[in-house]
Amino acid sequence: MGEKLLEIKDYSVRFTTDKVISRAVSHVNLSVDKGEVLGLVGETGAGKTTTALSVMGLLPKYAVETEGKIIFDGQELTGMKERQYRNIRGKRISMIFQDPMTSLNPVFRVGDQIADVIKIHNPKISQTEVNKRVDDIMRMVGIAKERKSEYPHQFSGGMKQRVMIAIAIAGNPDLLIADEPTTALDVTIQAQVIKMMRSLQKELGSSVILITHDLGIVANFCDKVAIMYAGEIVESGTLEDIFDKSREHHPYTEGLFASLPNITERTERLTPIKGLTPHPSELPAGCKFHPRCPKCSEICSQGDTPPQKQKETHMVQCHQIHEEEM
Amino acid sequence: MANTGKDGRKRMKKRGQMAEAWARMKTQPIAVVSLAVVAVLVLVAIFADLIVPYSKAITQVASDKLLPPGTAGHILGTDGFGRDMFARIIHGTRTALEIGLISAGASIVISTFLACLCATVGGWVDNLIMRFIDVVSCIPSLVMALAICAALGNGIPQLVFALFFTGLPMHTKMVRSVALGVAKMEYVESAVALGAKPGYIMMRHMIPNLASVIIINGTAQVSMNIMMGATLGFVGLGVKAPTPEWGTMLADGLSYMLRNQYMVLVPGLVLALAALFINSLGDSLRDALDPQLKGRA
Amino acid sequence: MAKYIIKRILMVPVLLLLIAMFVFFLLNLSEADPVLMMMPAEYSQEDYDEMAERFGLDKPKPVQFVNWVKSAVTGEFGTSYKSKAAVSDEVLYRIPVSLKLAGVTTLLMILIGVPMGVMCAVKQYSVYDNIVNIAAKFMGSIPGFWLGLMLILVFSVNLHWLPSFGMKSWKSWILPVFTFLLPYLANYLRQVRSAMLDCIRQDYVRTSRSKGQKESVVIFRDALKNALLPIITLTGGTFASMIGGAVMIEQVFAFPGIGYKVLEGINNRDMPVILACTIILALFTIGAQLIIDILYAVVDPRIRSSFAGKKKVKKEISTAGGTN
Repeated sequence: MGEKLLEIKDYSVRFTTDKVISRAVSHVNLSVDKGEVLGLVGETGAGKTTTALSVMGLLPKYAVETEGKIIFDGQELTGMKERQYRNIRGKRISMIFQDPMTSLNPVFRVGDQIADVIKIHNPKISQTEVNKRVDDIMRMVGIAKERKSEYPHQFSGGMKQRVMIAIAIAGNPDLLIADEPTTALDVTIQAQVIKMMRSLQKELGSSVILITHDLGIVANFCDKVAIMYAGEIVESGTLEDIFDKSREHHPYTEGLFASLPNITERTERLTPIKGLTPHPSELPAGCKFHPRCPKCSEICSQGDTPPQKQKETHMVQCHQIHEEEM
Repeated sequence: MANTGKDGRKRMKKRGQMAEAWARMKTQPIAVVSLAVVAVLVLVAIFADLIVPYSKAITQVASDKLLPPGTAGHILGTDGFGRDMFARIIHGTRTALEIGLISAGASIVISTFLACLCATVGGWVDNLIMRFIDVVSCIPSLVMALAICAALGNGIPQLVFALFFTGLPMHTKMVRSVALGVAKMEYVESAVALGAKPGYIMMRHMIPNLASVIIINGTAQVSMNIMMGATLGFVGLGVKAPTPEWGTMLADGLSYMLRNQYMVLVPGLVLALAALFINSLGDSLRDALDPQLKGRA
Repeated sequence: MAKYIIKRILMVPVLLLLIAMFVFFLLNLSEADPVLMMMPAEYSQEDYDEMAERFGLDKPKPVQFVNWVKSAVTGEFGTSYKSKAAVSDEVLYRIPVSLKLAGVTTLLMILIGVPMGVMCAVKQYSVYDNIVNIAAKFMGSIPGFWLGLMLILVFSVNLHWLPSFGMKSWKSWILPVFTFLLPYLANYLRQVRSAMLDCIRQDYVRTSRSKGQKESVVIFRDALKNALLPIITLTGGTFASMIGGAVMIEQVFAFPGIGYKVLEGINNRDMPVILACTIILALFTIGAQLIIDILYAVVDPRIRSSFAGKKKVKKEISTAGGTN
């Protein structure tokens, strides 16, 4: 593909609450090319949202330490001045948040909430022009423009998420981060929203980071996939790399697939991954997944993070897999 | 049988919550200091007679009028009647805590009962209680307390009743709103569906769940009532004449205010500090019992 | 909404009647004989009967109450036992004084408390936040009347800067307003802080930041407009408790307001005066509550639409949409 748009290099985040250190994200490497869709997959608490907020520069300022670099279109975002960052947020990178019910401001009209983005980044624009653009954007996300003077509480969940998407695309950003955009929605609405996002992505040509735990959505939408577990990327590659069952995969990825219902193959029961995601303040030594791993051997519980095995675009971080077998 | 098992577990969880709150409180220096000061106040109130005999607080010695603080035998001086200020402050602590604790305690017990009644029985009972409270809460609480004291006359029991009654409406409203939430919980609904009586639901389900709101509001009410008791004493509607009480001491000092400023300074300062530390204890309790309220960035 | 407000206003006389009834009942628990209190040291039974008849105190209690209500409807509010004059002449002119005192204080409280509270929330755990918080905790625990005495000692007695009592010039307002303000302001700004803290942590604030919005707009427009709801409630509640608190302030500074009069009435067991003053104070409270409810609907669209029927919502939207 083309040029690199976003590069996350060896990036880590640590939170300190009540003297307890939580390693939310550790040594993450990710890149997104222009026009590309990256799926970031993992369970709740794997550090996906923290990574996304880091790109937006919206991590809480209090009790947070970060390491590593985030580079966006040649500019280093990490350590950037707030003034400069504001010109990027909303205009060049924007984000769709997980819960549309709480992410919209209840006391402002939805039209005004969309118009904000346009006004912030085009201070000299006329009100008529703003109105016109808001109408256009609302049409794109499939909301009747008459509803722009309504308030969020008058919208259903799916419609609210459309408003969120409208806010995110209003600045015509180069990179769109969608943080579990459908988790809070009904299943029937989920499909609609994903379909709409896909056509919008084609129309606008933006890059997208899609955060989800739904591999079905990933298969439908993404070009590249990164699997996150306990703050680390345990496997990454193109869609084909990850979804090709003939190849070797990280045991966690295999677990994720095994816990999916499959219509084509009739299986008696789903195989869940045993155990729970560890809390980021109590991560085990060695491979973070080893206490839950069916292939775990002695080496897995020792030392630091396992080495990353690379074959072309495909990367797996596991002791049990050898590069020659990939 | 299943029901008792569930309750057993619930009570254990409750004890766990209190222990957890205590563990959180121990780490906060302000909380520990407040608790210590309040403990000292309580001890002073209990052992007032051991510190200085009551007679010293009420005996008027004509020759010892208006002695300044630091005089031998009268560490805080004497008032216009020649009574020892220190003894009056110490025994005033007893009066203040007596008034504050009993009136606030009574308010809480009765208002919790009323609130639970509203929440579990509902219907016309709830309506009647709430309409009465609507009417009563339109009267400013100080005016109400003044009116009750005026009607009933001076004395500690009358004062306690006035403060108890004045605190009732606000508490009932607050506890009721929490109790209504609890009444909608599934375990309460299932108990109702199993035919549990309102009294059982109140004791088993409501009270444990209301514990934290009761403790928090109760502490605030104690300091509020001490303050209001002193206010009433200050306008001459509180305790009967010789009883040592901070507000009355302030009022006594008023006529000597220009020359003997310590007479209004000392009791007021003691009153303010007592209120401060009780309030501070209340805040710490709230933070410890409801850590979400404190919240972190 | 209008319908709701009218309904509320129509309820006011009923509420006032019930309040009067309650206070009347309460004061009659007293065993003191009001007629006796009005009599000179030496009097005959005839004098006593005459006095009782003059004030209608010879009638049964319920009749006394009905008579007072009748008198209240005409605007006279009965005759004061103490001054023997119509209560209205003694009480009504005090209303503006009390309203002005509470109004000015509330206004100052909002103007100082909201920005300070918001700043504390924004800079949570900073040195500023900690200092303001501790100072507020301290101030909030000081009894207002004692603070008044201390300020009189310092500024009137020792420094001779300000008058200590009465209402002669604007200078007379400084100490009472300041004394009144400080404890309420302290509690108010702490509550504003916690209301604001709740709002700052909401997801929509993050959304606003994600748009590239300036931090000042994020805080003072997007977060504060939401925090206004609890702040309105707080302000109303504080105003209501100020109405009661004013009694002590007016007493300490000998300020000719309703609070001063109600205390005088209570000390004299002057039933008609107490009733009239209580009714007026209750009216203040009810009025404040009504204003809060209206403001609430102005700020929160959710409440507005819960009042309006579905058709009305549509209408409002189409007209509002036109102006947009």
